[in-house]
Amino acid sequence: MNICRFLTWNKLFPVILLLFVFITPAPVFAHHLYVFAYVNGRDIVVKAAFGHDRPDKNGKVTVTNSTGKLLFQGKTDSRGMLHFPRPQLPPNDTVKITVGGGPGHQGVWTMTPADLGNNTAATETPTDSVHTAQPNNSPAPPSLSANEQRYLARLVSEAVAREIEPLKAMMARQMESGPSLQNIIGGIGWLVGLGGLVAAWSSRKKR
Amino acid sequence: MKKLLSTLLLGLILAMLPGSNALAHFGMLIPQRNIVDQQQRTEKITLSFGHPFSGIGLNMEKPTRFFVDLDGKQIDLTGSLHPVQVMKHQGWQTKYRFRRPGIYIFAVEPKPYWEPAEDIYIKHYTKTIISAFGADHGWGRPLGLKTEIVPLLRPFGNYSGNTMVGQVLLDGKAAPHTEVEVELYNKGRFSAPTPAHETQVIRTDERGIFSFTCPQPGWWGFAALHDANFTLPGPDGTDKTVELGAVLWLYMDPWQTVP
Repeated sequence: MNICRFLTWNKLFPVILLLFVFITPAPVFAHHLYVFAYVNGRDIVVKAAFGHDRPDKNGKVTVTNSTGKLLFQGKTDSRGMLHFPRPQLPPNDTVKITVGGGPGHQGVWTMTPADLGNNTAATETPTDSVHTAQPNNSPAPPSLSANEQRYLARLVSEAVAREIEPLKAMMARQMESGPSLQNIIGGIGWLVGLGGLVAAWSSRKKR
Repeated sequence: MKKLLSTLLLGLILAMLPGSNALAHFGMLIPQRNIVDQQQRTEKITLSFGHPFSGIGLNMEKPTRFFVDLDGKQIDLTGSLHPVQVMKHQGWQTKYRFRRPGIYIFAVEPKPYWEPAEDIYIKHYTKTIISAFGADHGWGRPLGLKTEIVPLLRPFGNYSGNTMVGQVLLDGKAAPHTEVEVELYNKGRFSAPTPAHETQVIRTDERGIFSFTCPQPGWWGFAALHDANFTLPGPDGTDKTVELGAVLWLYMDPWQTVP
């Protein structure tokens, strides 16, 4: 049997391809996997991407609570995204989302009670087009095309973000600033008042 | 002997005097860190004006515009600024909460600063770039400012000893043969052998590109300077030159040994 006939291109190609697969993992390791998640209505949305914003397709997603209890398992789609229903949890519990991206790649995002909208802080919803471009949420009148719906949703989201930015800033300033003069005088008033009550009470007892 | 000493001292003082005029001005836009992770999602971002190496501050008026650019979308943050003291002078600060992965480019357009010593106005368009939650794409985009430095070195995740490479743009076009001043935000760590050492100076090539190796950890400021093609009336009513600066701040981390 002639060896040259045996080594046709068709047969060599998979061998060469395999060689490449083994030779090229090094640069892949340079791309770390990052995971991000946010609440969108009744869902949690997960996004997993490698460096340069390359989506982690078919990434295995594992969702656990703070004690490690498995809450959900699934896979990311071609955009590196996954929606799953927001689990019912105690108000102080957290949600840990682990996404695998093949050998040597794993990313984690932990959602705090604030992220989950489980305390007084506003729900963390990022104001970006990724967030609003979910066609399965808030169905618009059928007269609008999917693209128009997305565009409209983005416009609304941007407008809301723009409008609430000064409010958020004001709230941040309020949180940062120390007690005002009014607070201090009020506090002293309270102390004096309470002192008076105690004095009145004790003098009444003596009598 | 005493006389000799006092003469020497006087000589030294005289030698230092011109140095105070040679100090380079820098618009400063300094966050707490340039990489944001889940553990610390909120950052204080401080705006000021002064001489970063010598630590001499100058009063900064509330800027005309302060914003963050996220994926090409600019969000105005001017309203969120509150006054703070920076290097014993008025500066501005905001607290910013990062909500999703991305490359956040913060930029400030200040009001022109009147510098009587140099008889000019100074206006430094100042930027700094923060990567949030692992994002690493899009740090080299220009914002379309009057003048700006676009980094060619990824502007975060750097070590001291790395070489900063950047391109200076003026009206969106590469600015060849432009002087770029470089200073470390020193915070009293080092003393300069001569006033000339406080500011390092390089020039861009014909493509507007410069490079500079940052030998120490800390915040490094790069200021590319041009005289504007317009003037502003000075306090005495005559037309004054306006120095336009494109300033970029980036952080060089120290090398860490294995604990």
